[in-house]
Amino acid sequence: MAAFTRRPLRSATGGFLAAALALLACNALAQSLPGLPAPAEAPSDPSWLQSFWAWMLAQQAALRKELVELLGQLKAGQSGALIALCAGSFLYGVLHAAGPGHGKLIISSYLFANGSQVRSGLKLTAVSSLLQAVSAIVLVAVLAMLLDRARLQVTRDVQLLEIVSYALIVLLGLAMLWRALAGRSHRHDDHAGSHHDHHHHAEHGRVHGHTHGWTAPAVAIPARDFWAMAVSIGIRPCTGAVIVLLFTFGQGLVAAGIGATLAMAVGTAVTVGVLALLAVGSRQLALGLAAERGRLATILARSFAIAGALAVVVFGALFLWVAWTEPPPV
Amino acid sequence: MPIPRVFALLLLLALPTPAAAHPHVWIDATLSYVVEGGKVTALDVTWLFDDLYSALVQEDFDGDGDGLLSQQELDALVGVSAINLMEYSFFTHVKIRSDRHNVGAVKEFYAEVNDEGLVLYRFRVPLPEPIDPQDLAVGLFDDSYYVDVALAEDAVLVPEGCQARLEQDQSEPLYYGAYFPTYVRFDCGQS
Repeated sequence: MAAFTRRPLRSATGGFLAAALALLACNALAQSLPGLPAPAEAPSDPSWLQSFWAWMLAQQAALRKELVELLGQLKAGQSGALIALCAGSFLYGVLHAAGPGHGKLIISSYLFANGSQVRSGLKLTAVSSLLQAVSAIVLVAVLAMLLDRARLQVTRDVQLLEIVSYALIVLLGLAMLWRALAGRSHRHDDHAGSHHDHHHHAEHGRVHGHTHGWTAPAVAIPARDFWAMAVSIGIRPCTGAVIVLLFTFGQGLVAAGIGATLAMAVGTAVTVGVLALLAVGSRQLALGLAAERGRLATILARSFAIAGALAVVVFGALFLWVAWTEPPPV
Repeated sequence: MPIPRVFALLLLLALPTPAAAHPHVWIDATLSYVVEGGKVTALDVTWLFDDLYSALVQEDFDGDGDGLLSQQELDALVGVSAINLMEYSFFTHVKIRSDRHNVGAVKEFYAEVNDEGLVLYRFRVPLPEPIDPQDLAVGLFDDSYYVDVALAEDAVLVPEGCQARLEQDQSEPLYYGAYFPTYVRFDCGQS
């Protein structure tokens, strides 16, 4: 990823990024926390944020209608509709991943906190999206088809897996936080037995090209972290995919259902992947700006580690709370 | 689009707001009013469910597996739904003047399957007392946004002499502030 190699960067862009990130994060947090009173004065015209979501939802609803029509054509024997179905499902996945529960939060936060290799982050994105698809397929195949559980009950079972997934994510965030506060960057774990003073060491590290410490060059995500994340994200099937699978399996369109689900997973991976790139990019941008002052870069990198971990804990807990308290109403 | 704008848009996607939850079930609703002596005594609501949800419901309640829902099977569906939906006020939110009226049980709840194979619910929501149309606001929405209830303007049957207004209620942020619910209010002629 040549685009993200460390190089002098325009400070204006960096400043904008930091400001936008802070602003949006605060805004989201303020709006998301349950029990907080609503802002006293809501804007009279819908903000561009709201318009964006409205647009996104309208697109999804329209696309979904198309997909249902294509399924009808498939059932009528027009096998050519399968390609269109997969293409549509891919697009649907791209849009759909903008909603919660597809690993954006955890993957982006982890990469932002740890500055792992981009390639490794993208691999994680692909694997967790694929696992989500597999999870949905297995859930529907086993519960609905094998055990003949009521279809609507299966859509409610997703909630259980959501709770498990978000609980695992909170635990993961706590582990990240513990590591960040204990003063160990994840890369350092790979070099067993090295107990240097990081603040001191990092300054030298940059000059001498050592690979330890907070601002060291990116390495791959350690296998333990990789699979912990992939499983906690992937265990939760997407309700949308489950509904499509239940429908297609019920209509005898098994291959179409599986194809659409996998295509959707590729689509969600694209969106999550773009955000993973963005997380790595913003981190490198900020660290690049601070690179001349080694100490600042170290402090910054460490703050990122703590902030990223905190984000995973807070939002994981929030999602857990929502999943726990709000069962599907129908 | 300038680069910062692109970044802002991407950052937006990065925000893990549960507010951005997506609906999984779609309902096209209609709303009409039972008027007696110029006052509204009840609301008549219909819901038309989307294709996929309709298909799953019919699979679940087609006890004899003949591909059709008999009256008995439809009754079973209504029985289960009436209990489930009570917890969610039947997605029907009523304000009388500025007071919220909690919708409990509904009356005359029927389910049917229309010509296109879609499941249709109809039910009547009684009001606690006859209400002046101008004092009444009705919103049809699921505040958890699992279900998207769409109420088109032309799907509201307005009491005689009144005009409907569909208004977003800014004082009642929905789903942690991502959306504001739409309420139907009336402007009626001087009487």
